[in-house]
Order: sequence, then C-alpha cells, then structure tokens
Amino acid sequence: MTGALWAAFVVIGAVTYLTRALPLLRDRRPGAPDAPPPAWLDALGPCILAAIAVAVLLPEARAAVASGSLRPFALGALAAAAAMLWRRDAGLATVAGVLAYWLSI
Amino acid sequence: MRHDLPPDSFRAGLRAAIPIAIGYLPAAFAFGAAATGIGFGVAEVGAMSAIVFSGANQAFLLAAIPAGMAIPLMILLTGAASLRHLLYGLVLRSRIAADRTRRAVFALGLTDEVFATALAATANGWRPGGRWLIAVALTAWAAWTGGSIIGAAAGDALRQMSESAAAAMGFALPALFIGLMLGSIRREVAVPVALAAAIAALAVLTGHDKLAIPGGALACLSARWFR
Repeated sequence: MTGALWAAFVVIGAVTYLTRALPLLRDRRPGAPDAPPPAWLDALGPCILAAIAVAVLLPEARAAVASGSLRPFALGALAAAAAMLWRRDAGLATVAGVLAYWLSI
Repeated sequence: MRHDLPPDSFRAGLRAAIPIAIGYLPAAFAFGAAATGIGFGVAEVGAMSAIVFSGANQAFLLAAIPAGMAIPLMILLTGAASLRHLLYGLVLRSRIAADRTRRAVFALGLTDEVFATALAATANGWRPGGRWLIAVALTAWAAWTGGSIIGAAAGDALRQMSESAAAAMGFALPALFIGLMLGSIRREVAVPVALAAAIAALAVLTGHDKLAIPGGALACLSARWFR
C-alpha cells in the first residue's frame, strides 16, 4: 500500500472521528441547561434506532428468503424478541437469537 | 427502578458490549480475509481497522482501492457516509453523564451498534457515565480490530471451522437490533418510530440503502403531532 493511501486512511479516520465527536463535545446552550428536550429530539433516537434495525434486518431477511434459510432467520428473530420481552436484556436476546438460529440450521 | 440500573463501571460496560463483539467478530474475520486478497499484510489490516474503525467505510475501501478510485473521492464519499454519526452525538449528548475528556475517548468508538446500545441503556432514565461508555466503545473497537487481524492471519477462521457457526454468529447483529429496538419503544414515540421504520424499509426496498437511516431520522419531525 502506498504512502498516499495511508495518508487517506488517516484523513478518513479523522473525519469519521470528528463526525462522532463534535456533537458530543459541543457545549450546551447557555441559559437552559436542564430544559426538557423538544419533541423531535426526544423522538430522534428511537427513530434512528428503528431505521438502523430495519436497514440491518430487511437485507438479512431478503437474503434468507433468497437462500432458502428463512426458517433459521424466523426462529432466531422470534427467540431474540421473546428473550428481550422476557428479561429486557439485549445481550440475552442476542445470545438467544444466535443459538436458535444455529440449532435450526 | 434506580436499583436496577447498571453501575458506571468498566466491567458493566464490557458486559453490555459483549453482544456487539459477538456480532463484529464474523464480519471482522471476513473483512480481514478479504483485505489480504487485495494486497494488505496482517499488520496493515490491523492498522487500517484501528485507524478507520468503520465497517461500512472499510468495506467501501476494499472495493474502491482495487478499482483505482481517486483518493480525494474516497475521502469525500466515506465522509458523506459518516455524516449520520452527527445525529448519534446529537441524541446522546444530553443523555450521558461523562466529562469532555471521556466523551472524546468514547467518540472513537461511536459506531451504529455502540450508539444503539448506549441509547437503549438510557431508556429507563439512566445516564451512562464515562467508564461505562468507554468500555462499550473500546470493546467494540478491540473486537473489530482483533477480528480483522485474525481474519487476515488465518483467513475466515470461523467459516473454516464451522460453516453453521459462522452463519449463526452472522445473525448476532440482527438479533441485537431486534432486542434494542423492542427495548426502546415507548408509547409517546410509537407513531414516529413506526414511520421511521416504514421510511427505512422503503429506502431499502427501492435500493437506496444509504438513505434508510437519515430518511428514518426525519420521521422524528412528526413527533410534535403524535405525542
């Protein structure tokens, strides 16, 4: 790999870092430090989370249908959802989903 | 209930990040193996993962480098793809209880999965502290970087050992997001969240995957009418 490419990796890493860090490091607006967030900001996180989940799950579901492995996908998803509703633990939901997927292959 | 909330400890953060690590490893193995295929050495793969730490951007680079894409264009396109992170910081900044130094360290590892895990942890009013946040981010970073190195050194080791185990571990991130999404749904944001999911689904189904997250985020603007 060339030196120019490594310089590019450093720049890409720095730009990625800045997009992650800048909003976290920005000072709060003076005057209203503990004001409740506006409705849109309160909903922004759950909306992003739902969008990421769909962006991850939908291509996986399509690939499962295309490859004929819908059964492990469906059982894995059901197990993950059931574990989450039962114990409210995303780690447990992940392990349950992976195990159910593996056992149903 | 307050006594059910996790402590602000490195250990609690490590535990919270285990599902992310399980999900990252198979993808990192595959990335490392693929990177050696275009001429990267083992140390170079590790360095690239450590510096860039973005699965989507690194996968893009694996295609862009052999295609001979101009470096400024690579930087521009990966930068555009990273803009979604601005939203993550915007959402988390008032929900976490870390000082600026620890926020700066945490930001090194603020991936989609780390964001989702941190946000889900705040659902019952808890404000994650610096130690917890840094442990989550560093665990994710270590899993991705370490997995890339193993993949580069040993090929796609997991897939070579067991095809079914590799397939099952590939389901870890979908399972994690099922859990995190179910854990974050609240009655007062149910309509915007459903709208966000619908917009993201439309983007994916029409082949505009990159618009799924920013498009879904826009659904939050409907919150003022559905509270």
